[in-house]
Amino acid sequence: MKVAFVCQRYGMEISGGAELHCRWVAEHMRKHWEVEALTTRAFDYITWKNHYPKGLEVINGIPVRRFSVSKTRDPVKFGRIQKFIVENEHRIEDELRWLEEEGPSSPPLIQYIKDHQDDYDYFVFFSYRYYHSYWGIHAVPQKGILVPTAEKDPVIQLNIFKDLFRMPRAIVYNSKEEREMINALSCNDHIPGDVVGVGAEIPSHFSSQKFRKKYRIDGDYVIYIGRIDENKGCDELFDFFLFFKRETGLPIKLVLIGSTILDIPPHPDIHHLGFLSDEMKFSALDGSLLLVMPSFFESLSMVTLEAWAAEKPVLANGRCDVLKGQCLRSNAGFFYENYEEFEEALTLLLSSPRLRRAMGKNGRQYFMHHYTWETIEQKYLSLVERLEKEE
Amino acid sequence: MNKEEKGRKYKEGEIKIDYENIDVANIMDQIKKKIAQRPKGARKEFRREYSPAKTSPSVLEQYETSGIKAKMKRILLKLTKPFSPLIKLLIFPVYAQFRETVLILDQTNRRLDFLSASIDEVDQRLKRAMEYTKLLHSLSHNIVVELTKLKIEEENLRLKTRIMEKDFEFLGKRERAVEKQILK
Repeated sequence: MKVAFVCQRYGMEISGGAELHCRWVAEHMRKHWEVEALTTRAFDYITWKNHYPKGLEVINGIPVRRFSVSKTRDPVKFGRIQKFIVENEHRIEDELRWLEEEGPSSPPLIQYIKDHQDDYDYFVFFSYRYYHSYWGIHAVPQKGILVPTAEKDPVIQLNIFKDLFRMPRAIVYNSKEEREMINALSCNDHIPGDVVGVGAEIPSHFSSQKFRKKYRIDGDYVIYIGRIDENKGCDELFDFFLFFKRETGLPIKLVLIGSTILDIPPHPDIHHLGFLSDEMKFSALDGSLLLVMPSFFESLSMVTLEAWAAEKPVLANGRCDVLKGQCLRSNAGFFYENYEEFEEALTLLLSSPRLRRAMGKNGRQYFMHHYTWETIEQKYLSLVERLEKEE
Repeated sequence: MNKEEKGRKYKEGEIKIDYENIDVANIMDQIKKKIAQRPKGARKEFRREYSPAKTSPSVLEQYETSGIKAKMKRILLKLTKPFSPLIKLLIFPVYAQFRETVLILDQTNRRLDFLSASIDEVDQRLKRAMEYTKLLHSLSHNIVVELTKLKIEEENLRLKTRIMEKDFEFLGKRERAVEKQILK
């Protein structure tokens, strides 16, 4: 069976989001199928400027075909159109104009899919909101499997997407909440699908001592891993953490790992370490008391799964349905919706090593049950088998 | 929170936890209840500790605010704002918008018709229900009257039975007295 994984960007340098999700799934499914990746030449997710060379490249054993982006994104124009369609009554044409402007607009990629549809059994499209998924699924609806990676942001309400979710041959959801949201929005219950998600790549060696020594971090700390951004709820996290420190006086530190586009408040107990390797990231996680996940929008938090894989409890933003649902299902994380809940939940977790251990254990069990690569691969295989039988 | 509470920790048993079988939903409920039980004055007012001056608020904004081109664009947009309805009228496909508006109005009218038909139906049902209620009311009233009558009738009959019993007893005695007289 030959399957193409279609994604807006693809490369070893891309360290998160749907792109990493796509690469990991493609690399694991290589054991079972003949896999190819179809993508654009873009690296910068703001402008989609052509960066990688055109043509065929092999990454971790997977042939990657890159197609040129015909039009770079004008962020100002895109912002204006998005504001208009989100806040005003508009036409389908406006939504299509928004999609075109959002990009990465690559007609050669869609043309390739159309011309070579007989060469592949299935096309797995990642991220519903981009040009490649919308036009790709329109080109090959009977062979298209969509991995929406949808969050509860305003653009999911657009009419073009309601139709899109009713088109593909199957949908692979990241979480139960994502499935419910998409089903409610587009009444697409009849489309075959499954909640699958993604596994985690856990390095074979990691050590908290090495991390502490290298970055000179001593004492207890909680950790945040990911892009330090307002959209990820980091500004609220800083507010809450500083207020928590002042109110409770607990000697706790906050360690931040990831690139930042937000000003981090200067405080002796807040340590920003920038982007770290996987090994160092897990070492940091291993030394922490818990992971804080303040994000408002997630379709599946890979970092949360990594924390559970490392037997660490999580304190998540309860206003994100997916995180809240996962905490409740796994019994491995608390959630907060305001400062008081943040304070109480964090104090409770910090006060009881026994509770942290028990929750970490639950997290590990939840991860092993749902998110090991064997389970993920099996779910993809079962879904495709089901589609084959239907045929 | 006052100074004494600084550095506080949860005491054993403050929140009931079954460590063998952690139930996050239950613990979160207890936390929420605990917060809700606090007197109003004791509720914490969250105050910002710092103003997040963003180094680059969002990459989009960065693009938006930089360069002479962006400035010129903003000035042009401001200048053309008063004429925007006219520009829209000249540029946009008025016919398509008009047609769309008519379609929306038509759809709204249909919806209104449907809703008013539903309201009429509900109104009729309501009236019917009211009639039924009235009938039930008079029926129960009649039943009460009839039951009262029956009760009175029953009392009368009981009385009559008692009188007849006494008459029967008297007649029995009289019969025995007459028999005695005859036998003498």
